[in-house]
Formats: sequence, C-alpha cells, structure tokens
Amino acid sequence: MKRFLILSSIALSLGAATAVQSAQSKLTRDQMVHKDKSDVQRIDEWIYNDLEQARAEARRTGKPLMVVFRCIP
Amino acid sequence: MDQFVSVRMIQMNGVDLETFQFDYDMTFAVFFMNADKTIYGRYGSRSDMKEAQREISLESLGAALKNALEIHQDYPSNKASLARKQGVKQRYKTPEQYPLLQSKYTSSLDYNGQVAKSCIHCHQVREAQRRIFRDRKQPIPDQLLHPFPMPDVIGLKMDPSKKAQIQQVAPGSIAARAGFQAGDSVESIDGQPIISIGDIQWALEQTGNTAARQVWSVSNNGSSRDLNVTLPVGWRRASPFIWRVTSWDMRRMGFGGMKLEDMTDAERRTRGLSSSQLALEAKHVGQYGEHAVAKRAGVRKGDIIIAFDGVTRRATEEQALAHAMRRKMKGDTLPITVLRGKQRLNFQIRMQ
Repeated sequence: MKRFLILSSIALSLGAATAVQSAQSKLTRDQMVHKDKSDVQRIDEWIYNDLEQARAEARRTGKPLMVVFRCIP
Repeated sequence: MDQFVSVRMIQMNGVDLETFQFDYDMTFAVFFMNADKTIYGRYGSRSDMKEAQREISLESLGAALKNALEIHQDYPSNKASLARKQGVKQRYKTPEQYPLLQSKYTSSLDYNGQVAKSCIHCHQVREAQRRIFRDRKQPIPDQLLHPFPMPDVIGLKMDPSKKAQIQQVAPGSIAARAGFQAGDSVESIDGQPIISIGDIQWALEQTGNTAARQVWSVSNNGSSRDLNVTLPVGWRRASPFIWRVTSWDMRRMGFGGMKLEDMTDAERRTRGLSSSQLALEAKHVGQYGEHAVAKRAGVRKGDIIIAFDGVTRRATEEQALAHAMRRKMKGDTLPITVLRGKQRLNFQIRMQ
C-alpha cells in the first residue's frame, strides 16, 4: 500500500495521469486548486506548499528535501 | 521517496528567487537540497509546448533521486563542489516584488477567495523579468530571451530515460568537436556533479552568452574522461524560445498579438513566392486589448508578411520575434508589408 502511495505521489507530481487530468478539466480553476490540495494532503508523505515546515522536518530527521514545483493548469 | 522530506509547491508567490532558479516555462520542476538550502541538484526539462513531458521520465527522476541521496550522504564534505549549483543574486527577492506583479499579487494564495487568480504562475516570473528591460526601452538580454538552454544547443541529444546520458551527437557540432560520443554519461561540469538533464541546463545557464570553456567529465563503460567544451560568442542564440509559453507575451510586445508561421516551399509556390524571401503568414491575430494592436493597425488573419522592419529575406517567426525584442523598443513602430490576395498593404505595428 505504501509503495502504491509513493508511486501515486510521483505520478501526481509528473502530472502523468491522463484520466486524472481529464476529470480535472471539467472543474473550474479554483476547484482544481482546492482539489489538488486535498488530494496531496491525503498522501501523508507530502508537505503541501510550506517550505519552512519541510525544512524544519528535514532538520529534525536529517533527510534531504525534495521540493517539487508543479503548476496546476 | 521515503528517504526524502517531500514538499509540493504550486505557486511562485513568496518563493525565494535567489534559491529557486529554474526554467520558469516548465510546469514541473524539482529541487533536491539540504535543510540549510544548499542545492544538490535540479530535475525537470522542457523543450516543447505540447509535449511537456518529452524530456522527463520516472526512470530519470528515480536516477536523480538516487544521486541526490548520495550527495546528501557526503554532505558537507562535498560542499565546495556544490557552490556553483546555488542560485545567484536577483533583482527582486520574491516574484510579487516585481513591478509587473506587485499590484496584483501577495506573498500567499487566497484560499478563501479566488484562489486561482491569486496564484503567480512560474512563467509570470520570466515575463516580469523581461518586462523590466522592455519598460526601460532596452533590448531583452539573451539570457532572458534564451534561458536554460537544452544540451541540444551544443549538439547533444540526451536520453530522457537516463540520468544524463547522451543519445546522439550532432555531426560538426560543438559537442562533436569536443569529442562526445553516444552512450557517454555526463558526471560533472566544471566540478559540479550532474544528476539530471536539468543540471546540465543549469551549468549552461550560468555561462552567459560570451565565449567560454567548460570541462565536462563523462563516463562510458567503466572508463571516464574529461572533455573541453568551447562555447563561441553568441552560442546561446541557437537555443529555441518560440515553444515557450512566455513567447505569447513577447508576441504581444513585438508582433502586436500576431502568431506567425514561415510558409512552406509548397505553400509559397501556390502564391508565387520564392523560397528565399520573407513569407510569414498570420495564423492568428489577437482580438482583444493589448493583444489586438496588429488587428487595430489593419492586419487580418491570413495576411502574409513579406517585409518586416525592412527585412525581406526568409526568416522564421522566432527570428522575427528576436529581431523585435532586440532592436525595436517599447513605443517604436515596426513597419510591415503584407500580401492580401493580390494586394500589397503597408502597416505600422506599435511596439509594447
């Protein structure tokens, strides 16, 4: 399950899921932004839009950061 | 992935531009970094408007992740080799400080209001940077007109499924003269470790547009070698920019809102035009606001431009737009002659 979530999160970042994009195209831009936030926050490996929180977590754990910039269409 | 702290950024509002410098025409970009903000590497490349994912893959992202972890494990003993991977000083620290953006945006998204409208998109950063020069009636510098060149600019076609592996070397190119071979994997450039095609773009990006030399270290089948890359003056201008989403704003400034297309030889024959003369067909003419300047000047969709600011030799849309961005300043007028049926008509396009 964890592996599925990790792969899902990468695919989400790449925006490779055509079906997801197709479904999103029926939403307004505001709805897409809100949906993106709720979708990503469901995957608890990701910190959403908060670089300082991520840096604090990286300092705490000693892990490197992966910062993904992904425009929502 | 679980060995990283992953953060998803969907906006440029409030982003530190002195740290996060990337090709702002992309819609997907990754930074691998330390908590102290030292950048280990970048991932993400783009060279086409429609095929945004042509240069990226899960395989190459996985390879970049693996390499970033290795760099992290050696940190900070390797800090000196990472020095040139860091962002450089910028005119404004965050996007919303740029004059173009400061009256419309704040440092955060308005989730309680019109959230999409409150978002600064990546491409708007590049537009704001160019607008500084345009508003001062100065030519747009080559580094802003041709940002983040792909390795193709020196003749290297990279394999998008690999970390930074060369697929093809163009005969007679800068890369061919340097001795690159298909199958070579780029390991470092001037000492900075390379973990992606995006990292190669960064190394090129930092090299201005004057004559320069770089040492590229490559490996192939277990052996490694150093290659001297000689970049001639103006090398960057071979990097295409017309595919970029930000070219739309430049078409407004330099074409008055037209989208042009160099006519094919077959199309030219039907109109009695030679293959060596200028023949740019107006495929689109903007209809509203600042994108309708050419329309208001009299240009119609389907017109064929046969003279552009005195230039009558064959040119692509990109060459014409580069001419307008370098030689015609805001407030200038740009004379064009068009063919409409059998008529020749002259118009003046006001530069923005």
